[in-house]
Amino acid sequence: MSTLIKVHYTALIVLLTTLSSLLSDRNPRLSKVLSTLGLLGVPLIYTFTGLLTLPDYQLVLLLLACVVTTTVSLHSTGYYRYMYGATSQVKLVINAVSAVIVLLLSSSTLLELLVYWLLADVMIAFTAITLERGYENIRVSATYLVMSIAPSDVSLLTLWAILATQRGLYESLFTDIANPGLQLPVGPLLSIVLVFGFSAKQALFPLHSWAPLVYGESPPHVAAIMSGVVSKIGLLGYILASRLFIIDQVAFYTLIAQGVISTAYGAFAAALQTDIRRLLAYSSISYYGVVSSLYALSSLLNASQVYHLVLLIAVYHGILKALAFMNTGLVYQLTNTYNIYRLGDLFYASKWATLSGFLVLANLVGIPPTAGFVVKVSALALSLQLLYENLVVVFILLVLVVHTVFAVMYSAKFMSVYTSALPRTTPSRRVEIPSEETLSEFVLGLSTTCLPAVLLWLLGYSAALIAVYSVTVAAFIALLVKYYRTSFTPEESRYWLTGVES
Amino acid sequence: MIQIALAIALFTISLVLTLLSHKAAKYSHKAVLKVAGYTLLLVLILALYYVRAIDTASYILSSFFTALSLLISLYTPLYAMSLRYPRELELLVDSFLYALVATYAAPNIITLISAWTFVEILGFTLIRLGEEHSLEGPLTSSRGFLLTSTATYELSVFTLVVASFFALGVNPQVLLEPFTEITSRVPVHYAVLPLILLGFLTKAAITPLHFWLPSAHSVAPSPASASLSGFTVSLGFYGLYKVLGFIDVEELRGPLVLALLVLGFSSVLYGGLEALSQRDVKKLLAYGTILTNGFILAVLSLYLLTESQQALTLLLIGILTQATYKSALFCEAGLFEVLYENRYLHLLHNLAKSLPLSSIGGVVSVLSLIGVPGTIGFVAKLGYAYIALTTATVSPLVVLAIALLALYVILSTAVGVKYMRLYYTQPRRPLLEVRTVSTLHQLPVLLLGVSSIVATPLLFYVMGYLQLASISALLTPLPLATTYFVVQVARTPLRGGGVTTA
Repeated sequence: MSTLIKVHYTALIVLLTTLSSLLSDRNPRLSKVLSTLGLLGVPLIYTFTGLLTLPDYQLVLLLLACVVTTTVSLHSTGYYRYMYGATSQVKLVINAVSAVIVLLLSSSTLLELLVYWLLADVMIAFTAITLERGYENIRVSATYLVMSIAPSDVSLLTLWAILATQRGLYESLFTDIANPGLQLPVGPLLSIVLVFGFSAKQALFPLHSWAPLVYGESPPHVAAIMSGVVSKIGLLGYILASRLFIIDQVAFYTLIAQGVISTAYGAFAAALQTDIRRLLAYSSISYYGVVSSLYALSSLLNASQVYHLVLLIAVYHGILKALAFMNTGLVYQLTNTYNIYRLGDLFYASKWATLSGFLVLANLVGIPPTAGFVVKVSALALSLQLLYENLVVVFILLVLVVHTVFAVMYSAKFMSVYTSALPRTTPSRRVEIPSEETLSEFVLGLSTTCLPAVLLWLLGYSAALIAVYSVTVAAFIALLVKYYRTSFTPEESRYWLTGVES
Repeated sequence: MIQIALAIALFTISLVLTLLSHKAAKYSHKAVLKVAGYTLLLVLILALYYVRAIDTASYILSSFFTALSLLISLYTPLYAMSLRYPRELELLVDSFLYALVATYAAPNIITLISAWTFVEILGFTLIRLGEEHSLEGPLTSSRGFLLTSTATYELSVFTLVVASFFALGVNPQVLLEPFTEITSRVPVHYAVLPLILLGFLTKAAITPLHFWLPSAHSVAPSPASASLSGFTVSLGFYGLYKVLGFIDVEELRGPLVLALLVLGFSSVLYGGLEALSQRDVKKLLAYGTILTNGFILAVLSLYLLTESQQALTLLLIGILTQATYKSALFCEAGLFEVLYENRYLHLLHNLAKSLPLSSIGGVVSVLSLIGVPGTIGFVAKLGYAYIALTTATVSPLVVLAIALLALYVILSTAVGVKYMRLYYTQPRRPLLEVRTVSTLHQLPVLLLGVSSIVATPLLFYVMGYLQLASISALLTPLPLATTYFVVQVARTPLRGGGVTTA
C-alpha cells in the first residue's frame, strides 16, 4: 500500500514539475501553477491527509524545502525571462533539482534516501552549477564534488553498510528510516567517519572552503536552493546517524569543535567580503556552525529543547538565505555586478528589492518581531541555561556572541548595496521588476515574520505574549510603510554666485 | 569427446565468420557477419556454462565481454578507414578479441595459458602497429609491454605449472582437468608465492609495476586500447582469482590480504593523482585504469579474506565497471582523433555538440566512474562499503579498507569531472574539424556507454539476486535522465562569452 502511494506521489511530482518546465515559455501562467502544485501542493496534500507519514524533523525540513523550492522556481522564471528571454531550459534543470530534493526529504526507506541523495548531488554539480556559465564553472563543480559530495557520500555509504552488516542486504535497503528500531552501537572511529562526512555537506571547518566558491559562482537561484535546502540534508544526515546508531561522544565533541571554529571564522570572514554572495556564503558557514554545534550539544545532553531550537534555526536560516540569495540575483539583474563597493543606490531602482534587503538585515541583526530575533534570543537563553551542565557550552556561548555581533556588521554591509550612497547620487531610472520576483521575495520575507507567530501558536504561549507580538508586528509594518513612502532626494549642488561649485 | 569436438567446431565457425567480415566490401555486410560470428561465440559460452565446463565467474565475464567485443569490433573498420590504418588492423583486433574471450571462457589451465599467450602476442602487435602509425608518443611502449607485462606473465604461469608438477607429480592431466572439477589445492612454498603473484599484479598494472601501462595503452589504436584497458588488464585479477583457487594460501592469508590492500591503496593514490595531471585524453584514461585497478585489487583482497559469493559478485561488478566505462571512453577518444586529429584535454571542448550521439555514451560512462545511482559504478562503491564492513573484522584492515574507499570516491570523482569538461561549450575558438564522424560510427560508443547501465540488473539476475536485479532495473531511468540534463546544459550554457565576475 505504502509503495503504491509512494509511486504515485513520485510520479505526480515528477510529472507536474516536468510539464511545468516544458510549458514555461508557451504558457507561463499554467507553468507557474503546475510547478507550485508539484513542489508545494502535492507534498502538502499528502502529508496533511496522512498518506505520507514522516517524523517531525523530516516533516519540518520537507515543508521548508517545499516553500523554498517553489518560491525559487517562481523567482527564476522572472529572472531568466528578464535576463535571457527564454526560461524553459533553465526551469527544466532547476525544477528537476527541486523535485529530487523534495523527493529526498520525503523518503521513508533508506533506498530512496540513498538514491535521491546521490542523484541530487550529481544533478547539482553537473547541471545546476554549470547552468549559466557552462565550462567556466566546471572548476566550481569539481571543488563541490571533491570537498562536499565525496566525504558525505562516504558517510552515507558507511551508514548503509553498517546497517546492512547487522540487518542483511535487502532488509537494510528497506529499513523504515522513521522507525529504525533498535539502535546499533558503533565504535568511536565509525562515529567520527559518519558525523565528519555529513559535516562536509554543511561546509564546516576544515572542509568549509567550497561554500564561498560554490555559492559565489553558481547561478543565484541555485545558490538559494543550496544554501536554503541542500545544506539541511547534512543536518538530516546527523539526525539519521544518531537515530540509527549509538554515536560515540567523541564524534559529538569533534562536531562541536568544528562548529565553534566555523561559527567564529564564518562570522569574521563574512564581514571582510566585497562580493555580496561570498558574504552570504560565509554567513551561511557561520550559521551551519551554530546548527551543528547545537545539534551535537542536544545529543550530548539529551536536551529536547535544544533539538527543537536546531530545527527552528534550520528552517529560519533556510528561508532567510533563500531570500537573500534571490535578492542578490535581483541585484545582479539590475546592475550586472555583485561587488558591494560598486553599488549603493539601488533604493532608487526599486523599493521592493530594498524591502527584501531590509528584511534580510532585520533578520540577521535580530530586530523583533522577525524570526531572527526569536532564534537569537532563544539560542542565547538556552545556552545560558545549560551553562553548568557541560563545560563546552561556554565555548558555544562565546561564539554565539561573536556570531551575533558580527552579524550586525555584515548585514549592514549587505544593506549598504541599497542605501550607502543614497543622498549624494542622482536617482537612477526606476526599473520594473517582474512580478514573479517581487511576489516570491515578498512571500519569503513575510514568512520570516510569520514564523514566530506560528511558533507561538504551536507552543501554546499565553495570550499576553501573542498580544505583545501583534503589537510589535503592527509597529514593524508601520515602520515599513513609512520607509516605503520615504523618497530620498539627492543633495542639491550648492552653487556660488559665479556658478562654480563650492 | 564429442562435446569437445563440437565446441572447437563452433569456435572455428564463429572465428571464420568474423574474420570473413574483413573481406566484405560493404559495412552492412561486415556488420552482419560480425554479429553472426559473435552471436555464435555467445552461444558456445552459454553451452559451456550449461554443461558446467566453466564456472559462473568465467561465464559472466566471457559473455559480457563478447557483447562488448562485438561493439568494439563494429567500431573498428570505420576507425581504421578514417585514420588510414592498414587493413590488417581489423583482422588483428578481431583475433585479439577472440583470444581474450577464449581466455576468459577457458575451461582448463592449458587453454587458459595458450589463449592468454595469444592475447599477449596480439596485444604486442597491436601496440607496435599503433606506435608505427602515431605521429607522436614514445616508441618504446611496445617493448615495455613485451618486457614487463608479457615476460612477468610467462614467468608466473610457468612457476605455477612447475609448482603444481612438484606438488602433484609430473602429470599432464593436471593441465587438462576442468577448473570446475579441481577440488584439491596445490600447497606452495611462501618463497614461491611472490613469483606467482608478480605476473598477475604486473598485468593488472598495480604500482610499482604499472610503468608499462600508460604509454602502451595510449599509443595503441583506440579499439585496441579499449580492449586492452577494458578487458586485458582485468585478466590479471581473473588470473589471480583462478590461481588462488588453485593453490593453498591458508597460512599466509592475513599478510597477503594486507599486502594486497596496501598495494591497492598506493595504486589508487598514484593512478588518481597522475590522471589528474594529464593532458592527453588517452593518457588520462590509462592512469584511470591504474586508479580503478587499485580499487578492484582491494575488492579481490576482500574476496580472498572471505571467499564468499557476495564478494565474488562484487569482484565481477568491479571488473565489469572497468570494462564498460573504459571501452566506451577509449572508443570515444578514437572519435576525437578522427574528428579533430587531436586528443588534448585543454584543446578539445564542446563535444556534446560536435559528437551528439557518442557523447551520451561518454557521459553515461563518466557518471558510472563517478558512481551515480543506476550505473554499475554505483553498485561497485556501495557493495564495497558493505563487504568491507561485513568481512574485515580486524580493526586495521577496516581502517585501511574504508580509507581506500574514501580515496577512491574522491579521486574517481575528480577524474570524472576533469573528463566531463570535454562536453561543455567553451568560450574559445573552436578546433578545426579535420574529418566527419558519421552517426553509424558514434553508435557503438553510445551502446558501450549504455552497457554501464544495463550490466547491473543482468549481472544480478545471472548471479541469482533477483530482488537486487529488479531494484537496479527500476533505477535505470535515473542515470539516463541525468545524462539528458547534463548534455542539455553542456550544449547550451546561457552565457557563452568569457566574462567572469569578480
